[in-house]
Amino acid sequence: MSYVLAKSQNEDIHKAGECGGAVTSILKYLLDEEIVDGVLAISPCDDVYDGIPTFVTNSEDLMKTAGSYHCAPTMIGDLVQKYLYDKKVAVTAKPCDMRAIEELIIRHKINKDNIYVIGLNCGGTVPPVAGRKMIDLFYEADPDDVVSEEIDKGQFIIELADGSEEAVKIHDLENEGYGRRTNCQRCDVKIPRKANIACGNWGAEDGWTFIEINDEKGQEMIDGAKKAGILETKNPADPAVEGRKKVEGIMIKMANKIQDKMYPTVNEMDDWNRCISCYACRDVCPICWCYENCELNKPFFKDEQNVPPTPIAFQGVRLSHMSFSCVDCGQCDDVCPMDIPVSLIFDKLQKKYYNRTGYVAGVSDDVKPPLYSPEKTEL
Amino acid sequence: MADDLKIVGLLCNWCCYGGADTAGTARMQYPSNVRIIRVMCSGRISPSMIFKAFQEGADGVFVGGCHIGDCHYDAGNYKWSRRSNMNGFQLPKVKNSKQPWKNSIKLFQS
Repeated sequence: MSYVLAKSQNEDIHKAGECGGAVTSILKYLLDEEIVDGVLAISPCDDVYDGIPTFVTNSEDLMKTAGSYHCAPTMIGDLVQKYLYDKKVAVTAKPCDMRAIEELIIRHKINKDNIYVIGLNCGGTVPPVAGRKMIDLFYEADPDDVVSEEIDKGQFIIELADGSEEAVKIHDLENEGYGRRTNCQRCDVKIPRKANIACGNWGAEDGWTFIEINDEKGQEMIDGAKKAGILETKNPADPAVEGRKKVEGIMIKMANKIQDKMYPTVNEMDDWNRCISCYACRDVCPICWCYENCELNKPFFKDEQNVPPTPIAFQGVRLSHMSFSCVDCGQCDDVCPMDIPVSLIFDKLQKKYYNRTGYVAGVSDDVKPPLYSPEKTEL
Repeated sequence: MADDLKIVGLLCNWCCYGGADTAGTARMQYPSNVRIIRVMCSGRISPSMIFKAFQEGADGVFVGGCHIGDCHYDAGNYKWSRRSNMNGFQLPKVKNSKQPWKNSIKLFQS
């Protein structure tokens, strides 16, 4: 593991990118040298609240994907698995994306040799609709005027079209029920260390990106981009490394505090009673990969028609199948029509499982989730 | 035991089911509200079966398997013991047996 500071040598990318455009430059290098067939990244649609995962095969189109979008939460893992299995792809991944990719690699659903992951440090994402409302209420600005947003030093900062910036403390927003998504508030994986490289602005000077190189593939990427003359690097000073560690530490401490507060508030049975068995959480889950072979599709798990469904089998089967691998991406919360805190229940179980076995989904180095290990040991 | 309780018993062919069978041939009484399903090994039971039992209206599920180390198929009961731990987390309101493995005949006598 080593650290470098990087920025783009390309003028246009340097301007368009978030902090020096290092990520876009590395993606451009991978595409231009034909190391990958394409790049899967988020590009904005109409405004900053709408991000569309786009498969880019031409390096000129890459410019559209530059910048960060905190108000457009997406999940990359299952897209790679469903549509890009046989292609060589480079993806940009926040920690939960990376954890999903790692879990799918363990399940042989993604080929590790085919995927180049550029990890992005993540302080959390904001739900788009609540985000608009929040900007209207707390910033007294028109949500449509926002050209970019950033989460930095515990503040959610927006930049308006006229160049002015406004910042409000995330803590204040969250006390009012706005701010980051609930799963992001309690997330304690802020740096995707399983990705080839992990990029971010913590500890970096203005206009530079701080990159943590996690493995050989990541080192090759950086060296190659440097040789191609698209990336400029320098070694970070010790205070920068320390500063980054400190930021991460503070964030994890805050997350742990919120976890302790949040986990006791959920009552599984009461929440499940609202379940209408719509299967949306299963369909959107990046870890649930069985699709038509899913056990829940079997006739004996189908509820009778015209009676309220009994959710214990539906939720219970899903819990027993994948709760120990829950990466806490919060997609199930987003799609649930009955507002059940699905990811909170699953994440709570993952934590219990972690306390028992030491296995963190998508972070631990164990090859298999220990539930399926053939070893003759009791938990 | 209350008569209107329904309990599904998933019993391993080599120990617990044998125990229940022996109890039967010896004309010992055991509660009639246990519905016994024979499985070849406790390692064959998946958590889905437990949840299905509860969905169908069971008040409790009893799983009987061999002593740790005595599995007819080498390690089946270790696998179930791991899964049952997970099940214990997942069913917070339904009291899941945390008892250590007991000799099956004794269990049916008590």
